[in-house]
Amino acid sequence: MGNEPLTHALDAVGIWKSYGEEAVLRGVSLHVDSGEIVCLLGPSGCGKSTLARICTSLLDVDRGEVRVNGRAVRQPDAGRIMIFQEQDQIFPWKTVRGNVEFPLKRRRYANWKPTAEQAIADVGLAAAAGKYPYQLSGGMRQRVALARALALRPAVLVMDEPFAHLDASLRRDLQDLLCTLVTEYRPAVLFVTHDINEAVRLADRIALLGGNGVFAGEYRVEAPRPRESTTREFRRLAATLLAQLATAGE
Amino acid sequence: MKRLRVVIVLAAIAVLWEAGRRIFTVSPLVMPGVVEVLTALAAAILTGDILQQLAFSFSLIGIGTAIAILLALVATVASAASGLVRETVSTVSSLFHPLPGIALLPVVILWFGTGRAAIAVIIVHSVFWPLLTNLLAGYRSVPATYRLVSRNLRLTAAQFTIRIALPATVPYLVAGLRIAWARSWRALISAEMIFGAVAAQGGLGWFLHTRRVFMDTAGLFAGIFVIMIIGSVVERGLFGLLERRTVGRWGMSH
Repeated sequence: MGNEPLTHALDAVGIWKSYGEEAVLRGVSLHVDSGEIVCLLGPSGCGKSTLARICTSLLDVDRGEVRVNGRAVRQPDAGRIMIFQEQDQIFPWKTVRGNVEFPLKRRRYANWKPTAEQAIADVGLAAAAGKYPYQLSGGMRQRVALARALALRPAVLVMDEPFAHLDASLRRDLQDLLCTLVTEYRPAVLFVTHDINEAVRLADRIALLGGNGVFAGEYRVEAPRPRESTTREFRRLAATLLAQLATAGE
Repeated sequence: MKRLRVVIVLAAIAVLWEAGRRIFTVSPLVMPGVVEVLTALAAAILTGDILQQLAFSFSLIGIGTAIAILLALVATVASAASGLVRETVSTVSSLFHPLPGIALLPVVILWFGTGRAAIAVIIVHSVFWPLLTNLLAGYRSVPATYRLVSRNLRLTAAQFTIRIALPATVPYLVAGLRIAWARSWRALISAEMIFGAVAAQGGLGWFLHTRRVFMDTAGLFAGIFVIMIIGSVVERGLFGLLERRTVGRWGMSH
């Protein structure tokens, strides 16, 4: 909303985006605060990934504005890092350590070595720091991507279905890890998912993006995260979201 | 085990060779004995002849290959930067890639004489096109995610090229170098046999050429044996090592 105070870590204000004739996003706005996880939930092809890329300035807007701590941004920067679903976002010719150190060295961080080691330890890969990506499981590779991003201490972390291709138990592990790391590193996290359970498990707020390019609703989840799907509140919210999603997709 | 197999195969060939020439009483001028060939080889090594010629051949391949790698990298990066360059390079490549180096020889002699430069040109031609074809394919296959990561980190175009795109292309580079080596080795030997001595020095091709002229058949086979062994050692040893150190270690073999 344009008239909200400009104190959020990430603000996307009145975003319009079209591909050709078709408008994918029609004036959507959202904000994320430091240490907060906002899940962007919606049916496939509703523009979630488009909005995520716009929030990291990897995609231009037709109208609207992205702000970081109140300041309008138009170019990508290392303060807003995107984590992709694809496993090939880390470099196979570098070890885990090499991958995490890479952006720190390129961005000329002073304490790149201890910073990288700390991030590697924080994602639980200290023992695998010398390994190459092909020696890692899919879950471990996403941990590397997470470490590489967090080592930069970004104000904003945008994650585009980062755990989508992992099996259920690995996904839970990584969700738990993300919750811990967000408390520790306190980035503003915009987390794109089409999985209702994942959203309910992780999010402080859930923004439901409809197929028509506008938000269909926003839900605040109060219980401390990560939440267990066995609780009554979890199931109730998941059911509400499912019903909303069914109508939003039309 | 592998080495043992090589020794066994070589020994079997030697036995068959000896048996054949004795049974059919072939003249040593046509088929010299294994001992004569080995003696000729030892003599060539002891006098330093073959080593000097080997060094000469390798220095030419080294220079020609280095120039070709540099040119191919420049052409690849330029093709990645501009669509017009890419189209042009692709058209020129489709014309010149299939052209055997040896077919260019008369023109090369006309333009560069019969010195080192001429052989270097032939080697550059043999190495450049297969390498370029592979590098272009490699560059095209750099995952789109790498570009996004690079833009996200605000790397410059040069940083992206050197730090990300080129390492990502290494499997294609190694495969291209393998083909390039095979082609340049053949081209070099052929060119030397036609040119003969270059600047008062000759390479392995020249070694074969002189042995043929003097009807030193044992020396001729010794030369062929050396060419075979070197081809195999470079192919399996050097490129094997290069592969293990890069794509093998990174799990990027394709």
